[in-house]
Amino acid sequence: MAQSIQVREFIQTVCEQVKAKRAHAIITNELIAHIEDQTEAYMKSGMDENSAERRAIAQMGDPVTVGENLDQLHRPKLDWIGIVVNIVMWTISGAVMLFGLFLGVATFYSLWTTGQLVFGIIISLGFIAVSLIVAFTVISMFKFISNMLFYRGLASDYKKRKKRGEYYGKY
Amino acid sequence: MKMKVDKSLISGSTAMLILRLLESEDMYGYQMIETLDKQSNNVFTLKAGTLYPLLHGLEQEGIVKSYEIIAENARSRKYYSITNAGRKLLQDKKDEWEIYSSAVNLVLEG
Repeated sequence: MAQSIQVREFIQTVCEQVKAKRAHAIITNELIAHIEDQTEAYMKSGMDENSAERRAIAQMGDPVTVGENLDQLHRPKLDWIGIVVNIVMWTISGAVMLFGLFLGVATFYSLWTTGQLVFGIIISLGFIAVSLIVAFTVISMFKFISNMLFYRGLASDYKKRKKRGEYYGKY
Repeated sequence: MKMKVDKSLISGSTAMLILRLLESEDMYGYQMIETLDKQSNNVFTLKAGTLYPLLHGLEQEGIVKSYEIIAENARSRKYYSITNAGRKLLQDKKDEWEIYSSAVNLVLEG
């Protein structure tokens, strides 16, 4: 059954509050089914379809509040891809800096053979990777930082306030 | 005449009432709201926006389970059923309510 604009808008606002995208389909189906049942009931009591639907949607409550309540339950999984990418990029950056440092020292002191230089860089890469893994695991335990890891927390908060009419200022 | 009851009195026992409904039969969301409304003589008119977060929360804690049934008109409905943990929780809540309401009555009549 095709959904009317008002139903789609309601569902969209609810889902916007839910950061876990994989829960959107479940929530959408369940809420639409409910609105349909409610609309049918109102139509049976004499309303025309459009008014019945509008009343049914109003009966659902404030979409932002509903979405917020659902968001607290459907927590998104950690963004493992994002974490891995971060670890790889930081490791590469660290490697480049270390390489430059070693080259500088090696040139200055003429102390290293090429083999020792390469070995030293590999060991350093290992240390950087391990410490980054530990750091990200610890940081991810603090919710507000882990939200920033995929930046959606800030964006959806802005949309939420904008919808409520609170002026958030220059973002 | 429909009497208005303080919302805070209602919200505390909502989970217990929903579980009681599911104790007798599996239901979908809209059905729960209708049944609750009828059985409570229109005192408990639960909003969908309150019910679904509650159901999803209960499901995550293993208090209820859900499954989908596709009706003849191709409409798919999510039914909820109570689990053993849910039955135990319901019994605990009933006992709690028994203690609470008796105490209130004692004081009011004392």
